[in-house]
Amino acid sequence: MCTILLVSPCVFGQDLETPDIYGLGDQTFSISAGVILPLFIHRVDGTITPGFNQLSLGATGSLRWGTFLTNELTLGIDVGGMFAFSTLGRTLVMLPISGIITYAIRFYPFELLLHGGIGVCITKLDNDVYVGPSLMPGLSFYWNYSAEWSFGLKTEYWWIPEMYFGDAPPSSHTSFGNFIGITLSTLYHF
Amino acid sequence: MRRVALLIIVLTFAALLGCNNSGIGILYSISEEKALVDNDTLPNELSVTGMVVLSDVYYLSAGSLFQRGATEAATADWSIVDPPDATNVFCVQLTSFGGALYGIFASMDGSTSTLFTMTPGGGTWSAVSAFTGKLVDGIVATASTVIVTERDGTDYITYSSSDGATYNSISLSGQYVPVADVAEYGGFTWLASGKHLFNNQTGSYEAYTSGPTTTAGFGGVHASATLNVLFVTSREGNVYAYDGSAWSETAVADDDGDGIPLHDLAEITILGEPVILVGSDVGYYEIFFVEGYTSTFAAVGPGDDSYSSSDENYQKVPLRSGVVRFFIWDNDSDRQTIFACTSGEGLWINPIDDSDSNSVIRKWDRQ
Repeated sequence: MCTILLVSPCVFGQDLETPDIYGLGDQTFSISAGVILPLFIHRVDGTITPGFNQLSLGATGSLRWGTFLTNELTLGIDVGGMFAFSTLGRTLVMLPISGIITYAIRFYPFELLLHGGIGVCITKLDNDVYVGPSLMPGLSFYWNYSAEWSFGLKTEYWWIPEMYFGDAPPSSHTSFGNFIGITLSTLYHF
Repeated sequence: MRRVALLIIVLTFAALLGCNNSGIGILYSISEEKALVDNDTLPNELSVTGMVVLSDVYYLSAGSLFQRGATEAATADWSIVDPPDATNVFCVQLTSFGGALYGIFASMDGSTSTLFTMTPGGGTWSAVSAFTGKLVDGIVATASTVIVTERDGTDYITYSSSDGATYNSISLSGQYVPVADVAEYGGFTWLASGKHLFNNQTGSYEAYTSGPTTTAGFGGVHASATLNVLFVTSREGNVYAYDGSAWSETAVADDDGDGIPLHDLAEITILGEPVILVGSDVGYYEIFFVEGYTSTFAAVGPGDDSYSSSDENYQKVPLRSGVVRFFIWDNDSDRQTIFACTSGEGLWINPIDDSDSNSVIRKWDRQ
């Protein structure tokens, strides 16, 4: 972020005409790492448990690939992961794999990416593993360092439903995890 | 794009799959989790070999002999009771009989192992004269009988007493380990010792051959006065019940189908109904008898948050994976406290909720 702020006066002095750096068929690859905040767990009976009462601040990271369908729209895939510690020191691990659609709004040398992901999330705690759906809307703000490289900040909401229909676990254990990831991100365009 | 769409579809079909061993939802489990209360009054790695409640005092053997007032808070420290002498410093077993404390104290090198007794309330330790010069290897007791096992080389000699002073040798054919547990049922005394279950139905102790058998050994015996049933556990993971006419059984096993070794049993009451607790190598189990004894009983893991000796937190604390050797039930009306005595995981206390004398959801804390 400091780098962005320091460089900003220089770049504002440049020609603000948006160069045509992206186009149909181009691809992007990004890597992100940062923290994830446990917001709350919403149980099917309506009970809402504040996340920070039960979980620590977590760490998260992801790899994302995308291909441009138009100059503004990309479709891709994201493989992410997070971990956080529970009150009793257990480690919660979540590995979401999502299809991602992204819409880019550019004001060179910056760009704002609005993205939404849908896919599956592998959740693990102790010896229990659950594979269920995930929904991950978010937005990213990038500074285009060059035609190939961009650096920025990504925030993403993690909505992780965990649904049960049988007896063990019972359906009353159906819950919805709500997290928000805040990561520093590097994007490579090729 | 088709590939991405296909991938999403495949992943979606893979959704809702998983492997849940605990039977509890992951996020639900986290939302229910409570911090483990460690009163930090005893070392957490203690292996508890014996415990009694006597004259409103808890006594605990775990190398040293510890004591704490039963009316004190769970946060009160346990103190170490001085051993009987400078030689026999390790308290290896403990029981009570006739209002007196009986402890086996051993020397550091194991060359002596002596039975001592003490009357609480200012009494001092005195060696039980019947075992002077003998290696005492085990002591168990009911309200009316004390069973002491002496080790003589590689052999064991077992003694019975009805007054704690006079001991008579009893012959237990095929005995190869000390008597692990004793119970009174049907007018007879039942002993569990290795692969053998003995009783004195014929006037002398004989191996009981009309009931359960085990190759790995019996874990414990318990007579329920409320249910009028004798319970026996085995190291193969079986719980047997004898109602005076027929034996019934249930079993507990791990994910591979192997029986979980079981230890001693205890009986508590929840909402006035008897609940049998069964210690095991992996936590413990409960057997509920809500409408009296039934031969189709089952041993289940605690943590069911509707009616249980433990709340759902049990699933995460070390007690869940520890070796629970036996329980002590302090049934004083003001306390109704359960203690779980483990090997290597210390002593766990499960006090009744002060605000609800009929609490049906209990919780384990660490001592």
